[in-house]
Amino acid sequence: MSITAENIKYVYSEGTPFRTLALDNVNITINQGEFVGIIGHTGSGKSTLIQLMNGLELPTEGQVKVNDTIIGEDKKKLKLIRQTVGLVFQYPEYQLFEETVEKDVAFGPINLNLSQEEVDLRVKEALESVGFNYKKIKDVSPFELSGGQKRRVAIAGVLAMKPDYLILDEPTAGLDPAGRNEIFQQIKKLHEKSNVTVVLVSHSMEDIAKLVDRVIVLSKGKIHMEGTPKEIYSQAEELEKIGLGIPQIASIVKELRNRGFNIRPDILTVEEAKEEILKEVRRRNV
Amino acid sequence: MKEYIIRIENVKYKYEKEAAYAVNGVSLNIKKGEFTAIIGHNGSGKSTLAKLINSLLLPTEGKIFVKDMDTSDDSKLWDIRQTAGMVFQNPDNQLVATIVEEDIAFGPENQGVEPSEIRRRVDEALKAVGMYEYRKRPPHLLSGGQKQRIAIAGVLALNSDCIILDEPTAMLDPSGRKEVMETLKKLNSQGKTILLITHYMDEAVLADRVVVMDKGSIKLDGTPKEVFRNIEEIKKFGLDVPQVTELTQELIKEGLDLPPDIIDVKELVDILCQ
Repeated sequence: MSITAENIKYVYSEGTPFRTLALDNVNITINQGEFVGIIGHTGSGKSTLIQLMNGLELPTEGQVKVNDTIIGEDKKKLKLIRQTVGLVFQYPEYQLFEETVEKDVAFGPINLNLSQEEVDLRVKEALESVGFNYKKIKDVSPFELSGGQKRRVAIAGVLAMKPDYLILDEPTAGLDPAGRNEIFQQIKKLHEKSNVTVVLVSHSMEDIAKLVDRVIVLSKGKIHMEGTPKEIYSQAEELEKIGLGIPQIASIVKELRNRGFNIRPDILTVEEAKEEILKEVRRRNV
Repeated sequence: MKEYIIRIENVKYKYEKEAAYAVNGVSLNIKKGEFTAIIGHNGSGKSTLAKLINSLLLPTEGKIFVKDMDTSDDSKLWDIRQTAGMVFQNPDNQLVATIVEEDIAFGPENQGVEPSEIRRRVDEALKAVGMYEYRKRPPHLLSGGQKQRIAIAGVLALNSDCIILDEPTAMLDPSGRKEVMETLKKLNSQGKTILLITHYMDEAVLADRVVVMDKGSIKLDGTPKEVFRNIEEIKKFGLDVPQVTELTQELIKEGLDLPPDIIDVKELVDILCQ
């Protein structure tokens, strides 16, 4: 079970002066159960890539397979693919439209022609899995919620479709730090508890470093690097060259090492940095 | 009073259907040429305050003056909005034309600026945000981050004295954010007053002054160093501090002798390597 993209090319505005090669010979595999981060500068092709993964766009060349079904081969299967691969767009709160949170989350499942009991169950589960108290939240208008809460309702709407894969495009853009933490903690818990595969597109290097197992780095429509967060973020120069950066902690570590501090190069959290720096300082003072 | 470009005098604002005041007794003076960052959790009143300065909203109580013009004086509306130009979070809601350079020209055209001057301003504004090579493109084909830079260029082309930005980098990648921040620093060094609303603490660190809002009022106000050393308090407001500040204070707890107000990587590295 996986999503695979094979030799993908995607061209938009073909035949106009604005012809752009958004993706160029991209090959990736997202395995069931993984937590993958996608990073890349604006316009690197991240959003195009995730739209190809659930059939919102079809590749100009190459093919995308979801659990062995080739997207676009059979138009009738598109609905199933979009259900299997749930996509949460940027600013998903703009897509909330119902009078109550419950009705909003139920909208997708109802359209799957499920029984009322199944719909109710899914709505309850989805809202609980993003950290809401179902009874308290269900009759509230989505428009009375805070930014972070609205996002979580929108994510619940996608989860209620029971996707195997959950793709999130910048889910915390515009949220304050507390809202960001709230969303990420829920996603992390969700990934740990259920076997849903998570693909997270983000500009926050700190958040990617904290959350994912594997990072895919896109630049100018191509895969530039791939590896664990520790592998990726130890290559500061390379990332800066393609318009990205490293978490602030990683740059402190890099600078200290440049100045002769004997500490590990692959540190990504404040806690790890503290331990390593203390060890070195104490060693020096002996 | 001339040194203050914006004077906010005990302002309160309440949205019609809400019980609580979104802005609840704020007094704040912004000096000409100052670079101020306003931080606060979602719903703390930052954006409402920005809209009040720009006269998009009128105070329920209190007064706001932009260059000594009262924001509730209807006849001054356009002068106020030209003096304090605003950039919003979502650029899709503020781009109007089908070609980038026409979008930038929209503001100055409406001010009746000479065509040759418009040309100059449009080119300069596009270069300032690094989008000159995209001037002939349709904005809808640009990525989110690129659109945002176009929106900022649109305000630059109005020659506003003061630029108010409401989370302008929420959708940008690290280099896009850096570019915008460098642009803002440059414009500030040329005398523009900058009022930046942001959720990124590493951006707030670059300002001269940081104002922390919570529940409609100002809780902290000072230089970035003065403000960010209060880690516990800042976290209580649903905010964060730069990782370097957090690391420094963790090291202090472990007995290292460091100043508690470090906000910059180089500063910490220099001290540790002494």
